[in-house]
Amino acid sequence: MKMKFFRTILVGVVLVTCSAITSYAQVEETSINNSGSFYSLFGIGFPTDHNTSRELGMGIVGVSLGGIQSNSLQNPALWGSNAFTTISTGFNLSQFQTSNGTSENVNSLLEPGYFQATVPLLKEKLAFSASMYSVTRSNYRFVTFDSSATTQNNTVEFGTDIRGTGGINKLELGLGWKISKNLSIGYAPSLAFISQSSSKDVFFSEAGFGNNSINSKITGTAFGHRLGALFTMRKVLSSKDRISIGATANLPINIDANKETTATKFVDGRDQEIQLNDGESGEIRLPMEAKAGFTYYPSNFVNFSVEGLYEQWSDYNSDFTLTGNNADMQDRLKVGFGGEYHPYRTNSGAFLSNFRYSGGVSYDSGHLEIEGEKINTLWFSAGLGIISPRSSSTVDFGIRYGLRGTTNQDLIREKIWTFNISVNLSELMFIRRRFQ
Amino acid sequence: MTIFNKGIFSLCVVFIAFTILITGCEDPGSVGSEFVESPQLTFDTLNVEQTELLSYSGYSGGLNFIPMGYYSDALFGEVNAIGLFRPIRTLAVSDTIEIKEDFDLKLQLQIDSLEVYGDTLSTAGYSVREVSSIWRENALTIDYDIQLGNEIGQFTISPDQDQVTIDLSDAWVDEYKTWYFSELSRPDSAYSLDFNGLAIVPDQQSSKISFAQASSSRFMLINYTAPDTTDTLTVSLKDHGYILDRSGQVISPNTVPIHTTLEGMLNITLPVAELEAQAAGNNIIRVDLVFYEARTELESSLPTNHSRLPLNSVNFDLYESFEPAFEYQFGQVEFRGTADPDEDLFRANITTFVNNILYGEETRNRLVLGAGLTSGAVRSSLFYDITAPENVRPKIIITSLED
Repeated sequence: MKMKFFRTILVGVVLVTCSAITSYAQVEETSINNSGSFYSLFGIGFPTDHNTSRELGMGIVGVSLGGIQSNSLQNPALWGSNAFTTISTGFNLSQFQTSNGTSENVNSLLEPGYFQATVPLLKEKLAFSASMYSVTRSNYRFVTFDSSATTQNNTVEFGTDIRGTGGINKLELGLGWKISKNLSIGYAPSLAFISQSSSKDVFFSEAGFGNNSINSKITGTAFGHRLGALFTMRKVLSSKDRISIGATANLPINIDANKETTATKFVDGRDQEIQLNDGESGEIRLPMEAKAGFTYYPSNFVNFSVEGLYEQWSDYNSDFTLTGNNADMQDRLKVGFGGEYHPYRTNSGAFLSNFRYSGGVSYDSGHLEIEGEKINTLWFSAGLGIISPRSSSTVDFGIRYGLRGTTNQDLIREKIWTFNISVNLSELMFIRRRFQ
Repeated sequence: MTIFNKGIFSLCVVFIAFTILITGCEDPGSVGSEFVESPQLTFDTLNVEQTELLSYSGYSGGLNFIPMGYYSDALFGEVNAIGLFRPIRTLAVSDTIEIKEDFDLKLQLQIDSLEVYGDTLSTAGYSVREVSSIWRENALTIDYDIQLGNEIGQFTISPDQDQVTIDLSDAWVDEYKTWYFSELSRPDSAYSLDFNGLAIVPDQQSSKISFAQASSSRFMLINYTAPDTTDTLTVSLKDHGYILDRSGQVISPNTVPIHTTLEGMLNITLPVAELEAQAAGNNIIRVDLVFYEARTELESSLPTNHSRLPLNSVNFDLYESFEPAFEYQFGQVEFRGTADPDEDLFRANITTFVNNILYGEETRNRLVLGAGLTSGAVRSSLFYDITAPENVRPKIIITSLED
């Protein structure tokens, strides 16, 4: 009965997920509610956490957190341990309560996090992964008001609805190889592509100016490379414990990109998109990223992780600006600590013993420095995992509360509530078990 | 339902409620907008470098007003306007009304007392003359050749007078009666050809032009139904119009006259190459064509208590080579130039035309400045031309939205 209900939930979630992914593929840079963090205004957008809800619930990066009950994008070396074909995806629903000290706005954002499929080529030895996920994301919307003198005695007022969407995404293929029982390595080349848009709809107080729409879009592609390693050691402090140490390196990427600006104009009796220039060509340098951490498993029921990431945003460079160019980039450091409790492994009959629980806290120094203020984020997180009783499939929920930015220098303080859901389907959900 | 299922169901309810709560509370606004670079307006100016004076004879029949009078305008020359009127041949009256053969006929003119071109305090004298040449209001232009016959009446229009009733000679009324009671098989056609109405001819000593309102002016048929009893019936205007002669106009240097009668128009060639250069990399959102009115010359040339009907707006039409006078007067106005009294200029928004030139398939680049009116009012103004000082030359003001 429990299994049947679990399947029903999973089928429902998968159907919703698939339809959402289809929509997402069609309009890749949009979201249902597309006003996200104010700080996604700057540069090529705000770095995204393409983590599973399990990792987000623990507040960690995920480079050392293994296990056959969930898939992970974070460390290619983890894929070598896979026994089953898996498909996983995740969604994030966020609410940003923004304040500059005098007024407040509420933005919300529903966005897909990632999509990944892994196929074991050699059971628990060598596996292949294909994935698509976002690296940075712009989702902002502002309304500004201005005026300009058109003649000696006349002033025209105009309002501008400014929206930004898109960012850098990666289509990644990779292999994970478990070299020995203690050491795994992985490599994942990727095609990074940027599709970032800025739209400005301008409305004038005088009819003679009409309404104008300016759209700028940056597009470009480049190849990226990611390396990972995982070292696992058993019986470290006791006969039942285990420790995993993971690390990844994401090499810097230089994206050859183009920027086109178009405007909507009434020409030959109809509205037409007019290209305003011949297009600008330039380069965007996405900086190097390194992640490292360890997870300690004292027993089969509990594990703790300490992980961090470093991104060298001071090395970031872009020949383009869409809007919001008054920020400096600084190196980003994120450190997280979290733990998990697995009561479902106790075979208890109590309802609350059917799940996996997690919690954690993380600190993110951020990659932005604006008006001399560093834009950091403190996250508190908790998670809950629903484990299939008879397979390795899981549905994970994570909830996080974050405090980002400051109201100093007239900047923005954001209180962020984020709800994450991940679905991880193993092949046993739809293919008869061939192993065991 | 098992405890597990109930628990899962509760989780789903919490999840859905949470989703609705978050997505339903969105209230995006302007917090942080000061960090956004919003677009700004920039203004650039191009001079109009190529113009050509045009002159046509405007249509003057069947319009709302009939100018009548003589005025010597120091700026726009001596203007002599003759009004033309022809009554309908016969009345459509009920069988209970019998039109007696001894009826009398008068002309009653409703004068627009507010609009006077010339000396507003003067009294103007007019003679009424028989018209001896054929004319039709649909084909009447201001330079139409009209032959005048005998004088059939006289009258004056004093200041503030808004109506005048004119006695007409018995001979002319008798001729009308023959057409009224005509027994020809097709009298209306013959009437249009052989009875040409009358003309209101101003005395050359007059110094104002008044405007009769066509819709309120009429011929009055006084029917003697019984001894000492009369009945007045309205005889509508079959045709009406005017001819206008202007002489001695001296164009001031650096200026061009613009008349509603189409005698003064200006052909403007837009500087397409300069516009294309301006559009390169710029987001042009509005293009205005601006002409400055020579207000000083206009005002200094009018004596005290004299008035000139001003232009309330000007027209910018695409240059036409076929029936230009008709198109400029009755065709659809392409762009209307409105007055900016604070700056003594007329401004027309020609954005769509420039967009079509820059981004579309428009190959024409000439606009004609005029003031063609369908009302019949005689309005004139003086504009600075391309040889005028830089600050009052015709120009194109380009407004761009700088991202």
